[in-house]
Amino acid sequence: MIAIVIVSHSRCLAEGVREVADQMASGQVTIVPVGGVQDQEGTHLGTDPMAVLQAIQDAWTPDGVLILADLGSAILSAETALEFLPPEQRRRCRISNAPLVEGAIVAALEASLGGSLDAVNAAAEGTGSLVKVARPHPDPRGSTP
Amino acid sequence: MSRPRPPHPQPGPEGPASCSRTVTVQEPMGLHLRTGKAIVQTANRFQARIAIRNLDQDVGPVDAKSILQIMQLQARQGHRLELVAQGPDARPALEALAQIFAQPGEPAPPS
Amino acid sequence: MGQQNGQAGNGQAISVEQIRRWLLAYAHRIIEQEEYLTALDADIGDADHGTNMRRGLEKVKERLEDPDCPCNSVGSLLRSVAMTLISAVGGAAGPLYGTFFLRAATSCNNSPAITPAQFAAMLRQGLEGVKQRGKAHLDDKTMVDSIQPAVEALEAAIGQHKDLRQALHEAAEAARRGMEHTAEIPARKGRASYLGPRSIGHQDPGATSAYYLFETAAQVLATPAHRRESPSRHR
Repeated sequence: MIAIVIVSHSRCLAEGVREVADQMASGQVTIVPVGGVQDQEGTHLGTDPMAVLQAIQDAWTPDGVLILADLGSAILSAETALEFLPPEQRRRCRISNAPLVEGAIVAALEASLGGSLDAVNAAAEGTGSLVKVARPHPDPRGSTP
Repeated sequence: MSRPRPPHPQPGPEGPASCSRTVTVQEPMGLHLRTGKAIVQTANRFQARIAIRNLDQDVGPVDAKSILQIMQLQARQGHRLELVAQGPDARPALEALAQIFAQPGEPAPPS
Repeated sequence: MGQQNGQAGNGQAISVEQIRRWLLAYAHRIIEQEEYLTALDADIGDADHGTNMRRGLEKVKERLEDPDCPCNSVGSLLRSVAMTLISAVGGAAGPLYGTFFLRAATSCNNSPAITPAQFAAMLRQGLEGVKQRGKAHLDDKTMVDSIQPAVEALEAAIGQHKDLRQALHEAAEAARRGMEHTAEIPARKGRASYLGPRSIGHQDPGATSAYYLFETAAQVLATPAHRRESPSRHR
């Protein structure tokens, strides 16, 4: 079963996404949240590639690790983290193009059902075209008298 | 291992092992994620190909074994969903899925 | 070539101590320009470039002033700077500058001193790393716009056997022109790209922070460094 790493600028957001995704996976999938950067003044919004690397290693399974990230530098950080992995591990990681929340929910359930790394990623990325707000009325073309 | 994703069975004249059933979404908030999860988990226990169509939104058919596709149904309270199953265990599959809709907010356990 | 053994002889070799001073000068420049960089970023980005860079370069400064800082080779010094930036910056600049120094480090692994040509090759490696990591090209309005002209100017000057001081001066001038040019073009990368043509008229903060690399290089590297003076090092 593949594992999932959630990368966000905000540690809280990453943990929140893990919480909802975890429910879909009934706790069967390893989901590791990572986010924020720390200095002497506290935790700030941002992503630390070395922390992402650690999260990937914590989540590691030979079935593969799917990495879902929020935006911009979170993606760069994930890519940088992969550079530090041995090539054989890097080959079993994917950085998903999926929207973070929807992607994590779908990925968690698909992973819990035993989907492969690429199948789970494809399902997660499919949420990018999801219609979220239903049309208020049925399509009139479908219900002409 | 990747689960096979066969083409959706279409409603209408089918082989001998095809059957269909229409259910109504009773949840006040529509078909939410927990129910979607129950549908996908239940559907994946069966060999049959199972498709769902939202008759009131003219959406579908979608694959009942894919949460992504279930999320696309836009199913709200009162919407009628047509379930079409095809395969050796089509009948028990529909039976199990109908159970989920019979108990709003109380999805069937996954095993 | 390497016969100076870490000493900057006639200006034709750069010692690891000079590299350390250069990066220390860069750190000071970034820390002092934090507000300016943030103001530039407020115009077209999310107003955090100055803060993020200051946070990262403060760590770099600490590292460079630490007596345990690996100063036996240019490669290990650059790698240490890279790892510090990667972990401490927090924004997109972390992986980008981190990749720049990491790639630069691999091209001069165990050398206690490098020739100007090796220095140029090292920056070229860094540039290619940034372009690859950021998927950016010239005129995308990014740090590439100051680094690439600077590296090209440096390579050309060294190819024409100009002395190091002159070569670094030309590189810094090219970086400055590249930085200023970013004000004339629309952004095609990063958050600024969402603004499209409205980003014209604003100088890119990343190109600006990258310009300081070459500005400080021209100020520091052309001057031969003495050995580290005392155990209680000062800036």
